[in-house]
Amino acid sequence: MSLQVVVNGLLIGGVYGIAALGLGLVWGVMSVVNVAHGDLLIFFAYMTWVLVAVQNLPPFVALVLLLPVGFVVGMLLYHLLVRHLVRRTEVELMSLVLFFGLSAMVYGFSSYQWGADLRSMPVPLPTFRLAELVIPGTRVAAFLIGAGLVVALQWFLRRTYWGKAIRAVAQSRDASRALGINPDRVSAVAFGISLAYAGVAGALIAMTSPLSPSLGVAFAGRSFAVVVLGGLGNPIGTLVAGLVLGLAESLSTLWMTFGLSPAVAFVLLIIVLIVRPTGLFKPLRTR
Amino acid sequence: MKAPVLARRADVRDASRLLNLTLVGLGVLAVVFLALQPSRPGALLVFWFNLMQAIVLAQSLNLITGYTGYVDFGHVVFYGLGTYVAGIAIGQLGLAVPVPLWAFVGPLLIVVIAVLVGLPALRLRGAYFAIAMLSFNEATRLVVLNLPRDFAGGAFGIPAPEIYDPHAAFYAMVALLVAITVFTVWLAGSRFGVGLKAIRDDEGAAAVMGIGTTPYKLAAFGASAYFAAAAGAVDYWFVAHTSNELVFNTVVTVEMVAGVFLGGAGTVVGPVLGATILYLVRDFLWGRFPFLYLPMFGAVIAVVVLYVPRGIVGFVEDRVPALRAKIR
Repeated sequence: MSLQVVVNGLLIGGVYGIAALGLGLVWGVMSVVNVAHGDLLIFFAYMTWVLVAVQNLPPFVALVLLLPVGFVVGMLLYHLLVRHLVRRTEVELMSLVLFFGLSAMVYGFSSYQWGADLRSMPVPLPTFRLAELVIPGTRVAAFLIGAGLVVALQWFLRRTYWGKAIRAVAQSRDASRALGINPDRVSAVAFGISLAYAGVAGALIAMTSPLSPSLGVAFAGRSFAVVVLGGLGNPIGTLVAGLVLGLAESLSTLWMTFGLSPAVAFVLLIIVLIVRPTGLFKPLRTR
Repeated sequence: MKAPVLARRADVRDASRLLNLTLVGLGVLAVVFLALQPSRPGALLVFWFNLMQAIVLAQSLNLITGYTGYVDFGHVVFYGLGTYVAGIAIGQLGLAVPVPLWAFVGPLLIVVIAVLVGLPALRLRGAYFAIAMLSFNEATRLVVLNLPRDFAGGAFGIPAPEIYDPHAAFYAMVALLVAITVFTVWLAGSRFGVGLKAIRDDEGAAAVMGIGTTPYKLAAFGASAYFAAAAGAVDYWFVAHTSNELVFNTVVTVEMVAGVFLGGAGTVVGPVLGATILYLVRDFLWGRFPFLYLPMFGAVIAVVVLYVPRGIVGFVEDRVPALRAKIR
C-alpha cells in the first residue's frame, strides 16, 4: 500500500520536474518570471487533447508535434513581450506583472474554449502489475520521457555551443556581448526551449490526468516550488525536486484528503524559501 | 534668473492647490451621489456597490504593492477570508453580534492572519513574495473548501438570508470607500508613507537610514489586508452568501492588479481611476462578450507594463508637469 504511494509519487514527480524546467530556465537566464507558465502548460495540454481526442492522432505523435509548436510560441512571446523588458531595470518585477496579465489571457482563452467539463483522452498503453503494485504504463512512459528530456537539456547546456551561450548570458548579458554572443538571439532560443519543454510537459499532463483550466494555478504553484527547490535552471536539480514534490504530495494523501494535495507545493515552497532560499542545487547563474 | 523660477513654482503651487480642491470636491460629490442611491427607487444598487468594492479592493492592493513595492498575487485571499469570517460567525455559528460591528471588527482577525503570514512572507522579495502569496491563496482556498461542511459550508458556501439587508450594506461600503480613501491620502503625506516608499525604492538603503522595515511592511500589509477583508465582510452582508469558488478566485486579483497598474501604482488617484475604468469596461463586456472579459484584463496589464509602466497618473504627470505635485 505505502510502496504503491511511493511509486505513484515518483512517477508523477517526473512530470512535475519537466513541467517546471522551462520556468527555471528563463528565470535563471534572463530574470524573467513567467507566472503564466502554469496556464501555458494547461493550454498545451488542451492542444494535445485536441490533437488526440478530436483529430485522432496517436498521443506520442501529438507530443512530438508540440515540441516545435512550443518552441515557436516561445520565440514569439520573447520577441513580442520579453525583449522590451530585459533591458530595463526591475526586469523581475515588471516581467512578473506582465506575465500575470498573460496568464489571465491564456486562462481566459482556455476556459472559454474548453472550460465546461473535464477532458481526458485514452492512451493505448498497458498497465503493469508487479506483485501488489499497479503501475500504469502511461505514467511510466511520462516519467521516462520527462527524465530523458531533463538529461537532454543538461547535456545541451553543458556540451553544445548554444547551451554554453545560454549559460554565458545567464551570468552576464554585457560580458557575453563582448565575447561576440548576441544575448537577444540566445535569450529568444532559451525562451523557445522553455516553451518547447512546456509543450511536451503539457502533453504528458494530458496523458496522465483529466484536464480543467483551473489546473493552471495548481501547476504554477508546483512549478515554482520545484524550481526554487531545485535551483534556478539546473535541470538535474529540477528533476530531483520534482520527484521530492511528487513524493510529498503522494505521501500527504495518506493522512489528508486528496483535494488538498496542491497545497503541499505551497508548504514546500514556504519551507524552502525560509530555510534555504537558494535551493538544494546550484542555480544556472553561478556556474 | 531666479524670478521666473519662483513664478513658475508659484504657478505650480496654485495649479496643484486648484487640482486638490477639484479632487476633494469631486470626491465629496461622488460620496453624496452614492449615499443617495439606496433611497432612489429603481436605482442600480448592485452596479454602484460593485464599483465601490472594485475601488476599495484595488486601493487595498495599492497599499502593499503600490506604496511598499511588494507585488501580491494572492491578495484576494484576504477578501475571501473576510467573507468567511463573517459567514462562519453569523451564518454558521449564529453569534449574536450586530452585523455592522462584525463587518468592521471581524476583519481585524484577518489582520492577525496577515501578520502571521507576513512575518515569513515579507522576508521574501520580488517574485518570491508574489509567488508565495499566489500559492497561499490557492492553499487557503483548498483548506477552506475541505473544512467540515457544517463549519465552512464546503463547496456550497454559507447562506445567511436572515442578515440580508442590501441598503445597510450599501452604506457600509460607502463608509469603507471613504475610510480607505482618507487613509490613503493620509498615508501618502505621512512619515509612515514616506518610509514605505523608501522601502519600495531601496529596502537596504531604507533600513540603513533607520526605518524599521519589518514593522513598516507588516503595518502596510495589515492595513492592506484589513480593507480587503472588510470589503469581503460587507459583500457578505450585501449578498448574504459566500462561495468558495468566487471569493478566492485569482480573477479578482487580476482585476485589482490591472486597476492599480492602469491607474498608476503608488498614487491615491490611480487605483480609483484604474478600477473605475476597468469596472465600466467589464460591465460593458460582461453582458455582450463574457469570454472576452478575462483576456481583456490580461491584455490591459500587459500593455500598461510594456508602454505606460507608471499608469495613467504617471502618463499625465509626464506631459503636464504642473500636475506633478499633487495628483498622487
